[in-house]
Amino acid sequence: MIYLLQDFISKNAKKYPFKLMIQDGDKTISYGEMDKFTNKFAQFLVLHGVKRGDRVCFHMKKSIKAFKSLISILKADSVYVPLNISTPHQRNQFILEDAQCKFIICDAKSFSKTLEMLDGFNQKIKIINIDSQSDTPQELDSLQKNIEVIFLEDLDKFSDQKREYQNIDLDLAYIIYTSGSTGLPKGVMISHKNVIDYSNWTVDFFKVDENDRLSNHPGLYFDLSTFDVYTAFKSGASLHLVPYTTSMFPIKVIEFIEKNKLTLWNSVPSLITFIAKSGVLKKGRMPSLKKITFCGEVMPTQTIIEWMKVYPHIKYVNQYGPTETTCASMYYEIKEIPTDPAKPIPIGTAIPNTEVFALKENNQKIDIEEVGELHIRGSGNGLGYWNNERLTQKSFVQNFLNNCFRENVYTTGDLVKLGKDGNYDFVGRKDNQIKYMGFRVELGEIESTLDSFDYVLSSAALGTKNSEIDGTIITAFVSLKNQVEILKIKEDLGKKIPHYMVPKEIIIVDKMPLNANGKIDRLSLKSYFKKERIKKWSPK
Amino acid sequence: MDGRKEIIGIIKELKNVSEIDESIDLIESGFLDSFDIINLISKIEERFKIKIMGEDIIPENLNSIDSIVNLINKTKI
Repeated sequence: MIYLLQDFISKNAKKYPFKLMIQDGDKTISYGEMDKFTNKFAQFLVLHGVKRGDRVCFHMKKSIKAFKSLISILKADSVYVPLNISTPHQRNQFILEDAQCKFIICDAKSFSKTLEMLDGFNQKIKIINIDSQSDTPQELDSLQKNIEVIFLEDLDKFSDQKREYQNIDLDLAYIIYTSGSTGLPKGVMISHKNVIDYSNWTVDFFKVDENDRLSNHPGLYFDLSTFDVYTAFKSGASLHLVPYTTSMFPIKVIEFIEKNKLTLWNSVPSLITFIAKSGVLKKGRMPSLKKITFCGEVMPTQTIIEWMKVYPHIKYVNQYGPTETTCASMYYEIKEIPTDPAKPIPIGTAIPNTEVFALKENNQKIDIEEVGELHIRGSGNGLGYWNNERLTQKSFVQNFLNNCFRENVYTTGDLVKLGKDGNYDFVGRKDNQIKYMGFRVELGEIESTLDSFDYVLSSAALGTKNSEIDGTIITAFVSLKNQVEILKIKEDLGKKIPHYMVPKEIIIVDKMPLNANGKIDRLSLKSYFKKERIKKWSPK
Repeated sequence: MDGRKEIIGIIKELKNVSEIDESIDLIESGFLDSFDIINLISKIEERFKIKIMGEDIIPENLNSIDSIVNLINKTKI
């Protein structure tokens, strides 16, 4: 019986020590090599002060070294907190501070960027460089007083046998930060057991074994990666890291799948749609590919029709779930080519050991064809938000339908409709959260950031339909105190929020339309948007 | 050629910039992201009344203004 995620790797290292575990371009690592390295590196981390339950960040590009860090953190009985190296430094500093991280792992390549990121950070922190000092060309003369730097050395003095772990499966494995409506990101806490139960289903349902070859497209700071990482590690399959630029070019993705003989592809729907739209789907291509799954946003039905026409033998599975309930809690397998492109692909029904239901405003369950807010209870339900009991209480609630014992139900904020066949359809959001390219974005976070600029009077961010990507993009309406170029606004936003949250369109308005309550009239802005797109606009 | 001016115009509009640094690799530098590529292709197809094949949407054809001009010329024939 496996209780801790790192034991997936150790178990497969015993079974298939020489089997490929991860491929990143021309670099590879086997299960055996990974297990031995991480056994040693975990002891190195403990020697340098990492204790059970400590939050340890890693700040580097997705690579074999990033996975070495992640697994070693788990083997040190600590909790990994992935940082996005392309995110503004200020946001990463907030995460370090909020998660009270005392350690940050980097590599030779990300070392100088890590120092740059910590500029002005005033809490004590140890940088642990997974590479040696001789591999890291960087002067260390003017180091901030609160920073201590440790380079990897003498790793061979540690045993390659595993430590005796103290953690149990209810302990935290990771904290992933997602967009927060109040303007600050929030840390979602996920336990070992949450991920083990989810991957029990994925390996079983997708029939993944040691002969499978999986893509890893999403970043490790994005919880969609939980699917491919742990499905591969549990089953002994290999994981193939998709380079960032590859995913920008449909034909390159197809060549990547062919070259690596991938059997299972997982990504956000927007990429799968881009591939279909660019006309590169041809019979006979990607013969190894047997399964495609997607999650994170609505999949346009037309995309599935295009794919299924060319590749009817592939298993297509829509997964649905918020980060708070561990990657996905529901699924729908598309078994036949949809006949009506206007009919949405359902989000389906609950995965095993999970229950979903939707409640109306009176807290009664919805009937067929009715719409309500989706609630989730099950073994994927995470432990709430790190260091934010108030928000945890608000989102993880007692089941309204049961007053007899304590029950943790996650209120998703997603509105769903129950179909006659028992499958749910996603209808929309109760609040101002949207999905852009699979990323969860709280529009309030963008507005708070815009409003913090001294030249902004007021702002409103909206999710607007975009026909080119068959999805949603972010549009911000801004009224200004003094004239500023749109480019300058985008640049200032890019210093505070991740690039995917920076609105693709910014529209300067002379005056923000207000409703009867004196609040910004979003409906009026939305209706304007449907009519025409002009750069300058004044409400009537 | 006129196409060059038009392409610069399209990219300026797409990125809300007044100048484009022509010395940088538009892809490697991260100047164009995947959303921009989708939109750029769609706008080029619309303005030049051509259909760019998926096989031609590759970094080498989109990493500079000159390579985009070449791609359009090649596609026209």
